[in-house]
Amino acid sequence: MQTSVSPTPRPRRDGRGRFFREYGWAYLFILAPVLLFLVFTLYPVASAFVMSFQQYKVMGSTWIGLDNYSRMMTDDVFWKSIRNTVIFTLATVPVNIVITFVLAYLIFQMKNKAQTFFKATLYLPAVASGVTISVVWLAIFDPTDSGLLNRFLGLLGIDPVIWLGQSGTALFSLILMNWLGSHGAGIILYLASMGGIPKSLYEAADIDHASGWTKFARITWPLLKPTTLYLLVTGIITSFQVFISVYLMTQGGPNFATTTIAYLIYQTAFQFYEFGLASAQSFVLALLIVIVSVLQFKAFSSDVEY
Amino acid sequence: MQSKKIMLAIAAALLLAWTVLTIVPLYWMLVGSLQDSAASASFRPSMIPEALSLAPYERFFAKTAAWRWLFNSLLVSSVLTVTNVFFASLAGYAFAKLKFPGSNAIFWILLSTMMIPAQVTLIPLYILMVNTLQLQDTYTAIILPTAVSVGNIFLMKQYMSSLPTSLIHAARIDACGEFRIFWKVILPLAKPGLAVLAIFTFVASWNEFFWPFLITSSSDMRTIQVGLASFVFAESTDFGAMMAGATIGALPMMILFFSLQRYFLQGITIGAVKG
Amino acid sequence: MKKTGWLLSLAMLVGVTTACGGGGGSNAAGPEDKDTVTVWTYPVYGEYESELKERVAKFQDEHPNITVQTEMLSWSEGPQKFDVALNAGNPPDLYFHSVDGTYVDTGLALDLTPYMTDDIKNDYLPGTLELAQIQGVQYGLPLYQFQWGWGGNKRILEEAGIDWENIQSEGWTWTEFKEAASKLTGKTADGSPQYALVTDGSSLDFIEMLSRNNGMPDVLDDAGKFQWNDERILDTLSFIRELMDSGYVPKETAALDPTKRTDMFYAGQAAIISKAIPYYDVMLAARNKDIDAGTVKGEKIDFVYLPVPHNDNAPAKTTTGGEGYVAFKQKNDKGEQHAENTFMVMEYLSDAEAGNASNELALPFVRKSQQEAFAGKELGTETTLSAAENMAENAELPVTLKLDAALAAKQKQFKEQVVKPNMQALYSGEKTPDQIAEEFKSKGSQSFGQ
Repeated sequence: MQTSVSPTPRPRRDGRGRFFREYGWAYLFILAPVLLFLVFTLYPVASAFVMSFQQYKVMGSTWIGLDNYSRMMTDDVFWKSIRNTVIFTLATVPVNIVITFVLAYLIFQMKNKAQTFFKATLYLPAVASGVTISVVWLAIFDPTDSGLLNRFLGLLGIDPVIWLGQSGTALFSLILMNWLGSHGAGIILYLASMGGIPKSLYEAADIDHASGWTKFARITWPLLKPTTLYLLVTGIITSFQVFISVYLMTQGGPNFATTTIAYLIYQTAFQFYEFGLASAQSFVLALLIVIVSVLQFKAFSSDVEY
Repeated sequence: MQSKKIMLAIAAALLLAWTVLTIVPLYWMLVGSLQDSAASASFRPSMIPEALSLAPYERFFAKTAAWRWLFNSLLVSSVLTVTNVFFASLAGYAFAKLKFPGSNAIFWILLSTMMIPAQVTLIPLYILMVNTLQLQDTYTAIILPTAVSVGNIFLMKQYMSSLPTSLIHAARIDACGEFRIFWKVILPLAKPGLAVLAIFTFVASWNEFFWPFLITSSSDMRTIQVGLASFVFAESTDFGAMMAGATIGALPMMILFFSLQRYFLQGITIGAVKG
Repeated sequence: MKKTGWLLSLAMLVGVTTACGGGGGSNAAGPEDKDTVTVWTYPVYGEYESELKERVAKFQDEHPNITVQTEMLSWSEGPQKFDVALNAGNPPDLYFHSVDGTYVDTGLALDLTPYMTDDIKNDYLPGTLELAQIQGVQYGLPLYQFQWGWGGNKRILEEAGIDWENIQSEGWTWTEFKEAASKLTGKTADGSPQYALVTDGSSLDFIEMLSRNNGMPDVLDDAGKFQWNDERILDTLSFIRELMDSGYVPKETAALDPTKRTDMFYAGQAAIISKAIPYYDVMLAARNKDIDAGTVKGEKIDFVYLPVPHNDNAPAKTTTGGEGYVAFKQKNDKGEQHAENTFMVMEYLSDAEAGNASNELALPFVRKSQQEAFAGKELGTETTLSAAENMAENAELPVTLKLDAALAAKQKQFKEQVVKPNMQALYSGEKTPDQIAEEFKSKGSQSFGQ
């Protein structure tokens, strides 16, 4: 079923010319992105890395070795922010993938017109700016009994909850907002890949009287792995870097209950002007994400080539 | 057959409920923009609009350089869409299908920079763009840093890896040049993926706020999002006009989405892999 | 065919990587040489943007060699843009803000001492120039002296029999406030709760203003001595707790933001709000007009500007500060003539005519020439203006003007990382005043070594 015929790199036979004929195109194809990357991404990242060993001052920084890193390690708030970020990520990314997948799967069963309708409407929230969305969510989480969510709870006979104002519910509120946020992009990607799965595979399975579950586990899920991996990795990156909803909704409060690493980095850099420390925090965050991503690649990409 | 129909009905109901839930913010944006209640301090969402009025839109256009902002956004987002679709698909193809020495290492270096939060690279990037290249307040400065984003290369790599390798081999045997293979064989095959990439890039560039805000200084160079933010805080009491602006800011993307979306459906069946 | 492919890719490459334009800074040497002065500012009041445009055009007519580039920022994102530019070594020449130790600490704030002629100095009213000095050095020119008080709803105050005129002239104590609060708490006509005082849970103004009225100028005092480590702060915290326990302040405070606070004030659910400026007088008058015209729905509200109550044995203090233009040089210094031009623009934007800022905001003027220019044209009601003048008499200048940058930065960090979360814990009832006072004490001794 898998037609794994990826072009295996042939051994170099007659030196440089051969090498160029073999791979020159590939290098040329990635040349522009890599050049842009070197100038506009790698250079700033490298500068930030240098900064993480300095006390940054615009007129002349001082080298302070690992001070920023040790200060960070002894800071309670930093550890709290790691904890919050990990909780947020664990609670959102897998659930979002499931929601996205289920919605895409449901849509895939529809007729063409209905597919179009649902794809379009589910993608639409992505076009609204973060500010607009947060205004609406602030109204939903309004702590008084006139708040939308509280009015709903009132119908069920439950007392109003101060959603964003107490440590117990604040982080959960942000998670809830994320669950109900936009899944349109993921749905579109899943649908594109689902459409790419050859019908013949299912027909063959039907002949073998395979159950729905078997078809899902043997055909649909494995063939959607590249998409799932992409959604997982980018989902983890964005959720580890979750900033804007914290900034607009809770500003890290109450009592650091919603302070994420990205928010802490923002505070360190722009409220306290400690750019060196902020850089150190960023590189620890990046390391964390890289480790998680490598694990995901290991778990997902071994058998996706076909 | 009967049970399948019931399942479909339940699925449709579920989907509909979810759709309603996520569309509510947009609905309120629209309702808010059509209600003329200047100078209300905050936003009281109501499901049923009272008196509809276009006055908020009139105020929004009267008080802002919205047309210019829309033009800037359109220009910047279009250029970014073209550069991203072209370069990301080229590079994604190279990473997915042309195994070359160092491809994994290069890909991982690219990918890992995505994991550094933007807050700390802002200052070095600003120094580079303003102090060194002296490009502040130009389209070039808005465009260059995201001319081809790593996330998009990643997306294209994933997408290209699911295209049939056999076709490439066939083309090679026909002695096509590699770029020709890419241009004549891969791109047409990859159309659905490219359409998805195009819409994602366009929406992301259109909604990008902080970098354009940082790097532009004249009102003439603002993108719609930057302009909207300045408008929102200058006119924070005019909720209707604020929402009118938000709607205007979102409209071009909706139009683009609806005009491109047929590619998502039709293209995919063409691109299907023979099993 | 192969060649075309290569060429095409190369062409695309060249197109993307070399599409760079140029634009340069100028290096003015003589007073007649061409120069550009950049100004980043905010919508200080409703018509500021258009007035500024006119004034800049006039300035350029008078000084054809100088171009003034203004950029209007939004209050919410503007500061970040400035922070990036400043820390990249490329701040605008003039920036609208209060002077700040961290700016001075970058080494890019322009010392204005050489340009301050006696004429200019003498024009400023006593105590106003200091608002734009850090440790005695002039870095900016104040455009106005702001002050923060509390804001009351006249109808509710009068229905409860509160003699607000007396409070405006004599001030009030915490005990008196509690008495008044018990009368101001109840239900509105439509049955929603009505609170005596509404504050927001995210900003620090409330605790700062109350502690200032309990003998503590700030977390640190002028001399850098840690203040929030004894009975005084405990009293203040307990006072807030008591207000919440009695239902005078909403139990949802931790989750209220400033917009919601204003909203509750408009809805008649807040008799008093915990942060107000005299300008609310003008703003609410405009709103009342809109209500009359039918464009806005809601109850008309007459504004009463109130001083913050002080602890019974501590003096009343008004929270104040100055805002105006602050001057900067760039890392790549543009020279002495440019600095002189910058100051010239700065003085022009802070002159008699610029007094309209104070006037529009119903604040006391900062320059004699402004007082003269706007005599008899004051906005705002007589009552509010005289209340503001009364309150200006016990103004407490920000301690940050006297602290060195490192200590000021530490204080800021203490507020964000210790005070803010603890205040939220106080509002949500997750910590008691005793626990919080204890934590202030221990964390403070770590931060300030006292």
